[in-house]
Amino acid sequence: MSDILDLKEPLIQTCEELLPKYGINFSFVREKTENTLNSGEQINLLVGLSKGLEGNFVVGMTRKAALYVISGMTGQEEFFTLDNLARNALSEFITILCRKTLSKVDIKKLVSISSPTLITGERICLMISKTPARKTFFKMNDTNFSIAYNVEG
Amino acid sequence: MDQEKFQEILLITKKAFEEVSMELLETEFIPCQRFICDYPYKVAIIIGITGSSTGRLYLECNLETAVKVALTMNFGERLDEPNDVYTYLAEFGNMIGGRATTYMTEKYQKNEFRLSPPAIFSGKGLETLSPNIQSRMVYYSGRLGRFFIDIGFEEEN
Repeated sequence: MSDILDLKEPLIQTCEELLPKYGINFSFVREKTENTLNSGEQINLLVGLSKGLEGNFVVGMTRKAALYVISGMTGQEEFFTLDNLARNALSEFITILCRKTLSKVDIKKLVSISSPTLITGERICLMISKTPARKTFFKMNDTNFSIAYNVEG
Repeated sequence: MDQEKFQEILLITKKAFEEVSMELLETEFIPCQRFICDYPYKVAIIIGITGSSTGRLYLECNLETAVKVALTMNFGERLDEPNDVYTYLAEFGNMIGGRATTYMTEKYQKNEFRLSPPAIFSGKGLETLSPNIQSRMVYYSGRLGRFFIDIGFEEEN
């Protein structure tokens, strides 16, 4: 375990394949290397990786972006609260996003993905690794979302 | 996961937390009655669990306790940067996770449980939840403050 993976292209490809299916317009904005501690969004989804690769993967979304994803996945138009259906949809979303992204990386071993955790709050700070994480920013319809990751393999 | 095994894993996690706290912080955390985590700023350590069962290990305290833990780990000296609080908390979580994994490996088959690196979240009104997780919780109190531990595994269909 030593190399930190660059997942920018696999992430963009995955979003290209996935988001239009949910009726979501998106565009890649930029990727940057963050400090080890960086700011989170209103709604954050975390999965941990182990076995063939080790690391963490966090999708950060505005409330509006989360609602677009939930509507796209469930087919329901209006969501006002993060009820069970909405939470399940978001969990499913990060799991699919993570699996699809990793399927585009040449890895020799199987990778295990932990159960997703949903984190909400104000002025959220997050640290997903001891070394600086990368953060990829996207526009989604009229709002935005980001994917922070630090994956070693 | 069967309930007996779940209980064993909870005991292993408790043992790991209590031992690491004692060795690293020279502090005894004692299981206490459930308390309401209503402090404004929370710090959470989240460690993903994979293997024969998928889940996550969650530890939570308030910011004041997190600072005390970090200062203690820094031998009582002032932290160089405020961000060091999170670095120390991650190390604390890593050690607990590592110790728990060692005990799990001794008890169960090798690689039956694997842990991902710890992720630290903090914020105002921090709320976390893991859908479709069946979890068990334990509350701790000690000289440095209070901790809340929640270990959960996905429900089997």
